Amino acid sequence: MINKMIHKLMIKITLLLAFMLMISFGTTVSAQKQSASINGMVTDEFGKPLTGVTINDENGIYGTSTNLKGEYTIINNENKMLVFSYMGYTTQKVTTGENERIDVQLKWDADNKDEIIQLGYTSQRRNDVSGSVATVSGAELEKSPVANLPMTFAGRLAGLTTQENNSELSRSGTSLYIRGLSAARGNNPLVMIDGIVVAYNSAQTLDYISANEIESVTILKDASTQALYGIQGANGLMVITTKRGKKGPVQIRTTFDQSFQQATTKPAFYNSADYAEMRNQAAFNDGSGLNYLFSDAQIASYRAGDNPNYPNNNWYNQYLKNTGYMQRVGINVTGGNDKVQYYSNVNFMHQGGVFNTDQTKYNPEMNNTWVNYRTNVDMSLNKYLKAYVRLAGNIKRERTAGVGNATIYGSLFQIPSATYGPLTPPVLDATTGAVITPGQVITTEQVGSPTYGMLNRTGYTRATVTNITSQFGLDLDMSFLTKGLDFTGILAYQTNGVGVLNTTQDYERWIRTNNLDVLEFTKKGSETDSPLAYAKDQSFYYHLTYNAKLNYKRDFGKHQVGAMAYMFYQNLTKADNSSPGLLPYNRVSSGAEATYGYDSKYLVKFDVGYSGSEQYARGNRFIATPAVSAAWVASNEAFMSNLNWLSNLKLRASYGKTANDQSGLVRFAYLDNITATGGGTLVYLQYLINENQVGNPNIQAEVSTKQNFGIDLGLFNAISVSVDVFKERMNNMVVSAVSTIPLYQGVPLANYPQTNAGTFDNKGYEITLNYNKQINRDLTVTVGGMMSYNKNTVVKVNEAQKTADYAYRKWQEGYSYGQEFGYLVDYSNGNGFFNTATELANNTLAYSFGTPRLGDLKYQDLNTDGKIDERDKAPIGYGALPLVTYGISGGITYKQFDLSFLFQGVGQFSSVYSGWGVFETSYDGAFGALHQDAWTQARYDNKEKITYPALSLAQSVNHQTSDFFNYNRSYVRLKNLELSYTLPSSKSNAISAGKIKFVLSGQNLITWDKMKSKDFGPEGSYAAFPVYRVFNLGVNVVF
Amino acid sequence: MYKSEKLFSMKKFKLFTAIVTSLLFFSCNKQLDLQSDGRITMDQVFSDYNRTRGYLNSCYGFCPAPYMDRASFTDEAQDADDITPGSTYNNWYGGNITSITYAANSSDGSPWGNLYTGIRKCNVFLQSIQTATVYATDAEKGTWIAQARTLRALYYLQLIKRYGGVPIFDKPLEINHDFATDKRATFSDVVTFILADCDEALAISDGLSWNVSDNQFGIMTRGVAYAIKSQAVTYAASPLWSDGTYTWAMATDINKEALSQCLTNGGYKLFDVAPSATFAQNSYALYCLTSSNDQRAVDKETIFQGGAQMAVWQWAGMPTNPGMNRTGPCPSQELVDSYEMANGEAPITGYNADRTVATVNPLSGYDPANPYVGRDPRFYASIYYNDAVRYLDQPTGKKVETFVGGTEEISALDRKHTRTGYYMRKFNNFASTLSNSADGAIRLFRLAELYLNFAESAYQSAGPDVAVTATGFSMSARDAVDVVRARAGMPAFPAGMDPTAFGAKYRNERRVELAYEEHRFFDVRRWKILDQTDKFVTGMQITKTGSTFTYTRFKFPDRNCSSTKWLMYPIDQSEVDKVIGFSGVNWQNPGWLD
Repeated sequence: MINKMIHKLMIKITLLLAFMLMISFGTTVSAQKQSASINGMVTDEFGKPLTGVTINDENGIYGTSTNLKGEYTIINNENKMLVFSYMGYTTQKVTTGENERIDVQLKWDADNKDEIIQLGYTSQRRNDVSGSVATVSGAELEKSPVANLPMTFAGRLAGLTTQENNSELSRSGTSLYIRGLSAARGNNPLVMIDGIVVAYNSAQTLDYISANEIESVTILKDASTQALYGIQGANGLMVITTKRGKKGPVQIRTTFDQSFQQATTKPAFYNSADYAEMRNQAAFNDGSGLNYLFSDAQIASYRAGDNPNYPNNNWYNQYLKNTGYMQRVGINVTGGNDKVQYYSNVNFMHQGGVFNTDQTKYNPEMNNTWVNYRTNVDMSLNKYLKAYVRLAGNIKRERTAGVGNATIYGSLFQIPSATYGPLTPPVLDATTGAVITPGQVITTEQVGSPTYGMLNRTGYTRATVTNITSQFGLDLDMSFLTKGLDFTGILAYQTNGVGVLNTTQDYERWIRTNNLDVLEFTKKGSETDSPLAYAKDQSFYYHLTYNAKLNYKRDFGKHQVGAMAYMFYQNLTKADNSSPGLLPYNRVSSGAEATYGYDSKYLVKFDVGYSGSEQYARGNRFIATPAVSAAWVASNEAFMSNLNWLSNLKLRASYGKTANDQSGLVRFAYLDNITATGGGTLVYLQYLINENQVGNPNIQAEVSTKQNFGIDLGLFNAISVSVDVFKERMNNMVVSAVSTIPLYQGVPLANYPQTNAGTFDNKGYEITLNYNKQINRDLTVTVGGMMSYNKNTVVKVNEAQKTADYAYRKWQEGYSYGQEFGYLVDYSNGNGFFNTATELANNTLAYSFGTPRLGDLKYQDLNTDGKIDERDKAPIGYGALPLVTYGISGGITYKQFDLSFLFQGVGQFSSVYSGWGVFETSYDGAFGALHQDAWTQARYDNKEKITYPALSLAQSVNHQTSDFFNYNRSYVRLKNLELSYTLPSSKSNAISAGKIKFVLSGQNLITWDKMKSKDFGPEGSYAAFPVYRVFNLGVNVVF
Repeated sequence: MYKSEKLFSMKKFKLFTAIVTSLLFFSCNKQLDLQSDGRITMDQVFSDYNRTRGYLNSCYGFCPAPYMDRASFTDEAQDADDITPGSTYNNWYGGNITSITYAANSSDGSPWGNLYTGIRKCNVFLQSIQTATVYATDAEKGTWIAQARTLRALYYLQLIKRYGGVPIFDKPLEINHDFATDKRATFSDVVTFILADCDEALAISDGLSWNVSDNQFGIMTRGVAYAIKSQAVTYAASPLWSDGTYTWAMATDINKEALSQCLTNGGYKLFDVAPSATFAQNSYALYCLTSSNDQRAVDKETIFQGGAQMAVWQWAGMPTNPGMNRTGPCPSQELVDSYEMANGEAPITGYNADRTVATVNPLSGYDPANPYVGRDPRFYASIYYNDAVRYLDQPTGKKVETFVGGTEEISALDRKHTRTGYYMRKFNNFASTLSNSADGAIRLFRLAELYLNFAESAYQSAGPDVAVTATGFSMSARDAVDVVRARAGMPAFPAGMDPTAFGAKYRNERRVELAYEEHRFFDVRRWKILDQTDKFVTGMQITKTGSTFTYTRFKFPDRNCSSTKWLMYPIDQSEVDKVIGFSGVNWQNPGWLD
């Protein structure tokens, strides 16, 4: 009902605007007088032509841009002023007068003061920005030869922490955090694409965009830029702006890339004899004597490799290809005149698989194909009315085996090399040689599903993902009311559908008997060989957004005045088919902003967001988030204008509030959730009352108060430095009852109401430094670095204090989110192990989790009670996110050559690893690199390197969370390197192309890290897809 | 001119913005309200007949179900998963368990929270029904109240047998409840509360029924209330829990009432249906394979089943069973030795220190070279031993081969082979397969336990041979034990035993009769003999030479789970920490503080 009303209202507004369009059409279009045109050329200070310089009249009605030779033509009909703007150069205004030719030389501006920064609903000239933002252009991101956009962000934006948590080829997952965390949970920033909030599944939506369609990416880091977005702003915003049509000649740009992908890390893989020896060694340590599992003769047979009963299988090499291949093709078309400007783009991507499969009846090998397209059309309908249409789509076809690629990759390390396989020998007819019983899949007692089976006998899954985004906007210049006023109405719809063809199949598992002298197998488990079965699976979600915006911008002499107000209504469903998640989600937000600037020197901005979330009861539903910011551009002061070396000096400060409604609550957390269903224990009672969430009527949005102080410094028009310091506090963080409310009160804690009782702090700084200089006509040098530091503190989460005999009585409060606790190894004897029988006998510390053996870890008794137990655990590491992230980038352009590089890294980050491959006991013994040099008496006596405590068949005292297993995850990586060569125009023109560029690039080329082993990289974990190194050959042709 | 035009524009502008903004803000709040997704309020529950019954239904189902797995945590069995790295049994035998990891390593997790959830629901029901506007007769309301009270007693009993005394709540806690005022009551205080609840439930006229009607399987009956009373008081008088509040004499009174009521009014009777020889060996074996049902037509012994049907063949099966998963609890030699000879004599009277050499009772006729002949019939119903007939319908067919090299050979290397030389047979139907799981279920309460509870208190309060009487009931401790033995086909206890000798033989009888039914775990604790029973167990390595078997007892590594702290479950450390935060009082059970 209400939905309908809003809907009707929106239709009325749209009709109204359409009507206004109709009555004003034709009356104004012909009112232009045709005059002579102006020709010219735009060059840099060294006389080199600049391509793509935007040329507009003062009001932005008439315009064009320069072609590949730097030339332009524009109608000189108003005899007014022309504005020449180009990224990296100072915008220049030229009065046309009666001239027919105007050549312009643009002035280099290392500080990019005239760059327009996209802030979501608003935009500002960089010089006027008083908040804290970081930007990167699509062209920079395009240098990374990867399929997933979020993979290109690392090291490019100061204040953005990226964590690549899944590295599956072309299906990677990267978590993004702006200034770390704003609350004790892993919320990602709000993503905004072309002014539309992507409130749900933004990580996936980012994957639908290719870097080459992006104009710029901006992250909004402080309250003054986030406040406008109210309950959606606290985690920061990532504002993505796609390319729009440019007035000027048609330009067609095509790119072709062929990439080669290689794993950066490969876990240690032991041959069967080594494996058998290590298992025997583990059994010996456990007290089972020598040769408990394998006799010397058996090991010798494994080593000799001449007896099929004693195989040596390298599953990794057998199933995994060394190189993956990815191809990408992209076509961009852009152009336009004063009436219509268009940008159109289509990309195609193909990702080949990395597994060797062995199934002839169907193809289970991984394979991804994507097509995405985008068309942005801007139209000037008449003097007052503009309209635009943005359409984008993405069609992904992905095939995997019946189980996911990551599971299959992981399984490579489960079955030992000494296991016979992958199939039982087929039973043949003695006379005819015909197969009576085909080979069956072999597994082990501990492994449920072996690689071979998952890869070849589980069927395949073919998913088709279709994501369509459409946006229609009308922009009404309301200067008929007052000059500078403008109204925009937008209707946007994103729809996402996934159709999955699931074919499934199961297979028998067989196990070899314990007698290694014979090849005998027994069937394991209840699975049977089954024919391929088909099923279809689908999911769907949409975003429907209405947006209305009033904008006012006018200069009164030296006074620059601006104001904006918006109203936003979003209705969306999630791909969730269970109640209450299937009900559409609604959000209403509004906000207003006022800016004032005097002479580009003194700048003030006020923002207020007023937004409501259905998550809260009426009384707490709407929340106001005000913020204020100011900047002083000291370098624009007259008294500084004579300091030629000082090209920029700006001081910035902001203070304000921003909020969050994604607090990990169940839906409608303010209401009790009691439902009546059928079922229950007693059939005759027929009905069952389910008591679910207990509502908290007082629950409300979390409010973050943020302060930011910044300074921007530009020197010699080449060096720019920017420093931001920030401090954030959330005083009403939503915390669960789990940590204080006892279970015995009887409401399951998952249902117990959560409260706004927590406090969370976050602070840090960002430094960016750039040297950006055009040395001469042929040589431009850029070198830059950025570093950010964020440290958060969980101040209050209602944590119950542990008893006084704990070395640390609180394990959350006072520490960073995700702080790990574990035992500290006692290294006082040099290596931390019980090395001698005497040392073991003298040990007076009782371990509460077993009895230490020779070669086991010695732990520190921190509470000095003579026992090693939970009470001795101490903080290990820094929390869930790295404290420091940094990037060093640069480039040299010399004549036709272009070289750029990016080093990226994180610091002060570690994690305690456990389980499979880190511990040696998993499955049938899964040994990683460290286990080869595990403690043995001989190794100790010979003073050899010892990298691991004494091996064991089963869990020992070593397999505890301790700093022994704490891996330092800081690293520096040569993230990206690109070398390109542009053919001289004479040559490219010969094949009627404007510009031809050859590109050689690489991603993740070298990593320097401090991990304990090389089994997995600093971003991954054992048996997870490793980070891939990419080599890429590309050609770009512009017509 | 300029000025007036501007003013005009400002006015229009204001009007325009006012209209637009007011239109847009209109009905925002309603837009964000939850229209309806089917949720209801508590008032709507207790004003409606069906929903009130629905709430009562939700009070059911919080009692942990007994499961054969529990045997591996006692001297009844060594689990074949003890070699699996990080397995529960590996941790348990090694003693590598703290108050934080206990839940992940015990047979039934840590049911503390779940049981209190059930208690709260009973409390909500009992409180709300007082003022409920639902239309129902007082008699029907009475049956509901009686059920809720019995359930609450059942849940408290489950709590105290695991954790000892716990805080008692007889109404739901207010949202602003002050947790600092809560205290752990003593074991006997809780027993008093349990007895009162059961008595109240039993006192309500037309409250609880003896019978279980159609579709009422699992309902609280008078039998259940009596069984709860019997177990609660027997535990309260036992060495671990006795604080003088409940004496054996008081226990005898309550056990007598429970047993006599069940026998005289309840129609309960030990299951004595004779099976076909091709299906089960005796009625005891048949009982363990028979599902209890709502009409109690065949099974008149089960008071409350509690346990679900188990897939013994799969989770405690033999490697020769296709599709089996693991061997699970392998009967220990100690359990095997506890089965008497068919003549009623114990086969073994003592051991050397590591129990690898047994002292044979010369009167028993036990032959160490042929140890599985002439035993208690319950032995054949409960244990698969070497050379046992594998399929009862093929008496001359396959034999079980647990000897070294046999098809079901003993092995220390994988979890699909027996660790001890025996496989579990109780509850296991030999015909069970993946497509036809026909195994049995463990009963939470059955009549035999009531006989044994009565015997346990009566021999200590009155003496083994003294008859205790009630209306229509007269029975001595020995009589009660003998009823149980007679069903199994075992001779009676000799008359004139002194209480010590009777007690020892009684405990053995209880161990055998209730083997694998969770009782052993709690019995060795309440008797405080855990440090004697659970230090280690032994198995039987059998080698075959020609057609001769050689039997060698062997000892498993010492277990590290028999010290005082293992007498009770620890309360989850996080729960303990929370309470300390409120009141400063440490609720943790003894030993788990370390």
